[in-house]
Amino acid sequence: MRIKRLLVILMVLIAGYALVFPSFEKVRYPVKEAQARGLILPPPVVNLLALEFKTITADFLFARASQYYGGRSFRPGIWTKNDYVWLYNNLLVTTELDPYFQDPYYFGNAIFTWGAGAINDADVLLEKGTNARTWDWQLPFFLGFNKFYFLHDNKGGADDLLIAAKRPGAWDGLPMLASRLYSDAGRTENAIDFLEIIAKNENNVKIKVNYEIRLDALKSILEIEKAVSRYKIRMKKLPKDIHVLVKSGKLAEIPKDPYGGQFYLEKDGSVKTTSNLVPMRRNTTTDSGKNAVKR
Amino acid sequence: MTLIDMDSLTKVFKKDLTKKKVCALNSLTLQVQEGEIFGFLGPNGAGKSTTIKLLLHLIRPTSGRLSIDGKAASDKNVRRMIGYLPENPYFYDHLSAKELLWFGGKSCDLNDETILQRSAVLFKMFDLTDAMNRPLRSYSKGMIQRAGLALALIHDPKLLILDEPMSGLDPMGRKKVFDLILQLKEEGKTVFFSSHILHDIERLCDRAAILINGSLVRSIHVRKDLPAGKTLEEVFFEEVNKSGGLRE
Amino acid sequence: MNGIISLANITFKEGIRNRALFGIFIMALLAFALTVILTSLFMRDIVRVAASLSLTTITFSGLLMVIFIGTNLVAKDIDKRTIYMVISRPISRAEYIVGKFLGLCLLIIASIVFLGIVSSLPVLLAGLNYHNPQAIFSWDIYFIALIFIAMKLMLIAGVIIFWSSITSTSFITLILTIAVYIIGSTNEVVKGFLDMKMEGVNISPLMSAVIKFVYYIFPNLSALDLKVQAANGLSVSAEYLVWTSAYWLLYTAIIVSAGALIMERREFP
Repeated sequence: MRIKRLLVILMVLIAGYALVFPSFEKVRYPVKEAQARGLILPPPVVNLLALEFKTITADFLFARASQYYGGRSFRPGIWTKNDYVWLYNNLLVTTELDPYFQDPYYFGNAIFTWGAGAINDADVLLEKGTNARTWDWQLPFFLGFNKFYFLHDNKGGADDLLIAAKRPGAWDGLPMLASRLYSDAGRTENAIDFLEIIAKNENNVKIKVNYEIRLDALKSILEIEKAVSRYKIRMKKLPKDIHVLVKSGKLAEIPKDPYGGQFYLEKDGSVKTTSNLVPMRRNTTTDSGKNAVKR
Repeated sequence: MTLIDMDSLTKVFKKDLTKKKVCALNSLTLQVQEGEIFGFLGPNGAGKSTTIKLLLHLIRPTSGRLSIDGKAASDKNVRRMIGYLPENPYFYDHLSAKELLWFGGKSCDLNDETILQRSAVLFKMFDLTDAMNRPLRSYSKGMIQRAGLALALIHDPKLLILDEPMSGLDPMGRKKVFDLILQLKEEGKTVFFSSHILHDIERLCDRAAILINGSLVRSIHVRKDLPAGKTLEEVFFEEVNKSGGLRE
Repeated sequence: MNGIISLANITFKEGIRNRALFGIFIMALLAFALTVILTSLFMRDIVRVAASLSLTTITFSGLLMVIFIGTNLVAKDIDKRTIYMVISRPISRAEYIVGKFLGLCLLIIASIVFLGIVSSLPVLLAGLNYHNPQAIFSWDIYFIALIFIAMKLMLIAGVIIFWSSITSTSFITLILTIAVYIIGSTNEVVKGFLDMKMEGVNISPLMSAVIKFVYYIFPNLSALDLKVQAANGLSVSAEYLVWTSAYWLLYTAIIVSAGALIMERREFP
């Protein structure tokens, strides 16, 4: 009797729960997103409060960071300065809690470089990682690449490459690449060499594809750059725009930017693209940064 | 009028791990009349506590029928008319006897005023007036037993079920309980109590049942049915010997 | 009904006089004092830090209290046979479960009111000592967050009562409750990963089904956590409060009724 009545009550409650759940989920979603950007205390304080649960706290914080970023990257253009600051603080705390945790360094490097242009922030993380993960050749390698490619600091970049070259498993060609950097030879060619190493060392097929897209783009840039220099030698002046190269026969056709942008020439003759080498379409998933999350 | 009616009541316990079955009570048929003092007699492990737990619906019978005042024991309202004293009672540590009795009265729908009045009477009766505001954990064993009796009586039940009410009491305490049971009989209450102290049962009870190894072996009117010249004690040992000793 | 009320009443009285509660409160008071010291290490957002530390202290002490007192509640009753004294009254087993649960809820409310009042002192102090025009802080949202902490603790009390109806071993109840707490605090984030369909990550259909099951069956405890909002003075919509409260109420009611249902089947030899 009583059991029957209890069962009925339970059924009614479960039905009510099922009815309420979608509405709950709907109001929860935006709040959840806002909450993901919770309070980040300064790294030493978090380190203190995390007691002996430092690694798990690091895991949790990093999960929040990568999920927050993943959730946002589907909507390009809504990233604000605050988003970057939050993410940067998060990664600083995560790497403070567990300096040997590989993912935050890769993640930070991926996010703060190509799209965001916050190279110094990426480099702070990479340097921290290079010092902590003394067996990992990839972090100083990335650091070298950033210095060379984004900061135009060939010597600094080459120094980092030599650090990477001494670590186990490093690619044999690194000393060679470093020496070329010291001699300040063609930037784009060096960048292609860098990326080929990165792509070769990437095991995840999908992420490898992303690198190959970036390589394609850089090879197109190299092709245009070569055409510009041929034009310069011939005409003793810089081409007015990119179409001049085709008309003058120095370039068979304007290559397509795999990121969906248009190549163009700056006043100083350098080759640029309107995509700035990050995906332009909405809902595209070819952004290497996001993929770096799960490496 | 029959107050408690047990009809071939059986309880089998299953041991959790071994699944071994233990028959704690074997087809017990027994009636207790209203106004009677009924003694439940038997060695340890005979099934006395099992029977009492069945009466209070703490456990369910494996088979058989059990009714109290014509209602099934599973009906919680039956317990409005029952006062129960467990064997070696234990109550909440931090409550006072006063709060314990408040709970007992309130759960039986008494109003606060009645509870206060009745508690005062009961505390006086059991010499607990000085201690009634102290937490129960500071009580001695005898005081706990007396508080338990007060709790059993707070709602003026017509049936009292007392599991080993004399155990652990000093001679003074035993005397008190003894007098209490007699007084309850005068008030027309029914008392069902278990004991292994034969002397008490012989002096107090109208009727007694002897339970051995889960089975009823004899039910006697203590004042009329005892064979000439024999004490209850002698009858009891006779029955134990007849049943071929005790089960381990 | 009187049975439930009287049982809730003595459960509350028994709980509030527990020495463990005293210890937990002392610990909380020390943590509040520490908050005052810690906040002096920060530069600007002092009220924010004070509010977040205060609320964290309350959550932590509340959890300790509910788990320590709650897991012993039913188990000790059965172990020491105090349950005989309750069930021998006109109180059904289902009413016993509800009464115990409500007693624990009363204890939670009383503790949160006490700790809530004390916790507002470091926050007040922080606000008085360091005026920061940039900081937004609202007492409304701070108190809503407090209420939500109480609600979360009540839900956990329901979970404890549920497990207690299945096992009489308080340690097993403790372990299972902590498991639910950890899962409940993270299941939303894990489900979030599933929804993102991240590239380079393949989630097997079985794994995906398990995550969904865990998401719908276990309570979403992060929804009841408004510490971030309270610390930063972010507003929370009325809609959110209503639906989350409805969710909380139904979940708690379900878990307690399920416990009552299971308890009805039990025996106390």
